[in-house]
Amino acid sequence: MLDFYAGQYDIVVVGAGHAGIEAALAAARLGCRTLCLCTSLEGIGNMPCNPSIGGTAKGQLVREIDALGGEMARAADATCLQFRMLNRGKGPAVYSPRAQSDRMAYRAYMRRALERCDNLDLAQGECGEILTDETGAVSGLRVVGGGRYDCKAVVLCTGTFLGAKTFTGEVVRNMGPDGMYSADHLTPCLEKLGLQLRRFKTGTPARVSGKSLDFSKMTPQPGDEGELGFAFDRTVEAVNRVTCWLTYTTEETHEIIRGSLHRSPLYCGEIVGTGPRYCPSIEDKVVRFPEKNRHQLFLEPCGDDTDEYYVQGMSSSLPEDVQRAFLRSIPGLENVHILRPGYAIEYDCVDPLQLDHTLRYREISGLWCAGQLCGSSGYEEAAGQGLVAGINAARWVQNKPPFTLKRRDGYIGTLIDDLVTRGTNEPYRMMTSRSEYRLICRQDNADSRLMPLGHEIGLISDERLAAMEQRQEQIRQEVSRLQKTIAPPSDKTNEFLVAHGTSPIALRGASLADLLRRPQLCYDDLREIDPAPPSLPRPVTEQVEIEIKYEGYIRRQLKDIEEQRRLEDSPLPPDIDYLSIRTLRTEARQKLQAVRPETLGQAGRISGVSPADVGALMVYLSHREEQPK
Amino acid sequence: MASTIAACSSGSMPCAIAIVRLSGPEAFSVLDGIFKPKSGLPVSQRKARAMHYGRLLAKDGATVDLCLAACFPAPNSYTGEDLAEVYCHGSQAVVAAMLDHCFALGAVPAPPGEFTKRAFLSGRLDLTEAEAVADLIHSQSELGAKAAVAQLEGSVGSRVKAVREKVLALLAHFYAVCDYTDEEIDPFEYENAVSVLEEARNTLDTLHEGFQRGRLVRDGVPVAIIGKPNAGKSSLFNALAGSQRAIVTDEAGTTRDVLEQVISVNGAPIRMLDTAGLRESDSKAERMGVERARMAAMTAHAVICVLDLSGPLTQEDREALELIPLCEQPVLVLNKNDLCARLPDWAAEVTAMHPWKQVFHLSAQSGQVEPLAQWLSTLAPKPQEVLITSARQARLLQSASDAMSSAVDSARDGMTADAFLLDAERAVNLLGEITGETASADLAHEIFGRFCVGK
Repeated sequence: MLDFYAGQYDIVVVGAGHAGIEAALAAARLGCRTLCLCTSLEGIGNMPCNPSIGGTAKGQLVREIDALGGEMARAADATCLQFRMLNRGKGPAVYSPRAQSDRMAYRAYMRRALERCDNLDLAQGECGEILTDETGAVSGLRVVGGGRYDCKAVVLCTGTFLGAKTFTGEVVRNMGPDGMYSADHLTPCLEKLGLQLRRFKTGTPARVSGKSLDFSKMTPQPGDEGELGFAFDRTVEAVNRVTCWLTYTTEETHEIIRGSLHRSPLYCGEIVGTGPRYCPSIEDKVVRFPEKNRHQLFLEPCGDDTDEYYVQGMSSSLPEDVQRAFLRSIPGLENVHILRPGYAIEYDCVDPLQLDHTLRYREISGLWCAGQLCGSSGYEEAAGQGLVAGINAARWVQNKPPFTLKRRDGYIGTLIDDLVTRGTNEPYRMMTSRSEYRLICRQDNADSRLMPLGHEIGLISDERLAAMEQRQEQIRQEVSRLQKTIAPPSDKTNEFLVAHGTSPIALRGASLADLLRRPQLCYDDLREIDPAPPSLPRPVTEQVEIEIKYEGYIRRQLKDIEEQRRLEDSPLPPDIDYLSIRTLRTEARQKLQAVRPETLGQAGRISGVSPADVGALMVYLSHREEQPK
Repeated sequence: MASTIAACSSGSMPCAIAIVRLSGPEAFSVLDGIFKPKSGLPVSQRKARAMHYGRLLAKDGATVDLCLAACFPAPNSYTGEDLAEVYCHGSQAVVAAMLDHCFALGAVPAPPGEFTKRAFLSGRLDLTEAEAVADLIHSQSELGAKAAVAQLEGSVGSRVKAVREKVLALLAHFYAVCDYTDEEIDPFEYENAVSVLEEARNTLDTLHEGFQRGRLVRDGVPVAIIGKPNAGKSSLFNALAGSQRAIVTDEAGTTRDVLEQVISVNGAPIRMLDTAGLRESDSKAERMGVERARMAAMTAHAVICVLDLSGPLTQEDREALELIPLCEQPVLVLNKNDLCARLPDWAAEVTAMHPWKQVFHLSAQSGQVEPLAQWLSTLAPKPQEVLITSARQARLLQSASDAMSSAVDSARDGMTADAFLLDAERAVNLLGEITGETASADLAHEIFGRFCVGK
């Protein structure tokens, strides 16, 4: 193959999935000449699995991406088929927005977003090699076709394409997701650069034809009413255009699956990759939970102008004939026509313990990794990482200090900290239970948590920041007004209280804030006895209500954050030789040497590092500072 | 805002002097709560870095020691925070009572190395100290690990683990329902959650009660011997202890202070407090001894009142007897029965005077103390009782129980589960500190392990 010079960029982003898109847009918007390389221009922003954005904990990620100036939220709003707020009634820490998306419209939206972006070029091509200079720093990359690009930084967002292999029963293909070709050239190069690669596995269910479904046997799942959408300053309201449908597997389904396990690549040892425990295939569920006599599944439309439906809950790598048979044993799917069968996919990914909090590979100057390559799973997790990696690659090129998010900053910070500190042995999915500060890091306040940071970086405009600050001011004023406004112990007040199932108030009256603390009352109820109820937008009143009702809990989480802050803000010099610190236990020495934490707080979260080790580390540090340089 | 920590910073007890340190924003207010200087003015308002003499108070307000305290305001203290130190007598009972009081006032037990950690964080650690402390932390962690393992093999660990796992399962259930909205997981039952949390709290309370009993095993059951000088207290002490620890002479008032010794009485650990005679004295030292004797008698689990059958009932005897209504489990020992032909008349009167737990006629000098020893051994906890012996663990249990109570209260008030389960999670974390497990990783593991969740 003849090498040729193909161009010069500041940054080349490899991959145009959810991580690659955010990385490329962020880098270009921050003023870096950026190339976004992908194996297929048709695959930009593809959703090879479920046609939806958001969901529990993932919805929080999407709103955080928006607050930092990413694109995912706006794309999801613009291409929304159905919008829901999950976990209503279970409390604000777990409310999560989720949208069914029009897959094709989403891809088109994202492709246009990349095409319209200044400083950004798109190119179809497979990265074959990352080039380094004599100092070992990234100097460019070579695509499989021979083209050589000079660049200062590379952001790898290879998703599930690297060395990908798909499985449908006995049929094994060297293939990426959705029938696209796999990226088979880069792995040896990454190994040569010292990256430790592993094999992870995930899977997806069949897609079926809507006209072959009998919806009369299923339960409709409509979207929510009211204000919908992810983006904080949306120009496009998300709208409900479709209905999803719920049905259940039967004993017969399970019988068919049990009878065909010997033909599953999972159970006959074909697949070596580690799959996620939380995303089991239907065969996994039937084997692991034999006591359940049915499993639920959802039929979700893939788009506005297609008849294709996604069969959520039925991920499978069983042979096609088995998939057809078990699907046909489900009420409403008796005559189902499969458009494409489900499959399992195995791919190469890196050990994220080799990355720092900017997602940079510590051993090579100029190399970042993001998305499923780092061992995560999910579009939203990928997008959040892509955004952080893209921002940091740009800042590095521009000689600016790194930008990192702490656990206290939100879900993106928690996701990255988990990956680079604790590592993962299976595809990592975000969950609300993973964030210890989940009552503070909510989906509704991602703007106030992160927009100031987004603005500082340069991805949030002055106008958006001002709009956020105005919302905050409205919240502050309304909270203060409710604290100062006293409801008199009048008959009217007490009749109102009793009617809402709560106790009347005594002589001195009570502030509206005090009344709002009562679980029986919500913000809107108070209008009845409020002498001057203001007209405020829903996002404002929602936060006012949360701030007052959960004040005690919020205060305690803030205190926890404060207590952690000193540790989190104590940096560890990058050149410590942990193996030589004799006061550390052997296990701690090895773990610290491998992970190379950036702060004392992070050191304490590494498995195998005890509080006493952290103490010993502090002493070592103070000793070191006293030493002459 | 950091918490205020308290711990005994000196070595193992009993010893001459123990140093208890308090560090953090509330250090001075806690000190002022537990220590009342003779002058009346709180230590925090007096000269810093100077010793002040005063009374050390237990939680119930009783004086447990007369000793010294000093304040070291931030930033010129070891930790760089407000730091207070109390220099008291090196008795486990005194230190335990003081720490208990500190914890009641909002201080928390300092984990190993915490003082050093804070010193480091405020840039207050010098080079030589750093080296020395590093070694100390190292050895502590090894010892601590061994101690934790030993406890965990016992019944405490398994009980704590069981509670923790139940609450963890509850948390996992809630988050499985929330994180996997599309899966058909059994709904999270509010009422059931409340009863699980309540049950957990009750178990923790029971375990915490075991701390008091556990201290009895670790420190010995405190039993005071009172009586006038030379009624034979020291002989009795020696007879029970089987050694000549107390000095026994014929000269009245030889035991000048409270002598403490843990002795094994038929296998039960009994901490004998041999007191100075209760005689009013001109000697200042002896007066202090008398005061301590009264204190020991009133705080002990049982009191042995020793009367001398060979003499008349004196004023001093009556003073000793006046203490009895203030004491728990008083027993009467009519000593020197070998030196009198018949019981003096006062013996019947004294026997009837109080609801004595037991009355023993014996001769300490000749060593015939078996019935008394038998009775004393019943005071110690039985081997099968679940006991907590470490103050740190007890405090963690208490905090976990408090957190569990908050969860129950919030849930009863109608708070949403995401909020009241934060309290439950805090409790799980505290229990994890006892068992050495961390919650967040466990929670994810539980969700994956227990619930059928997937695409």
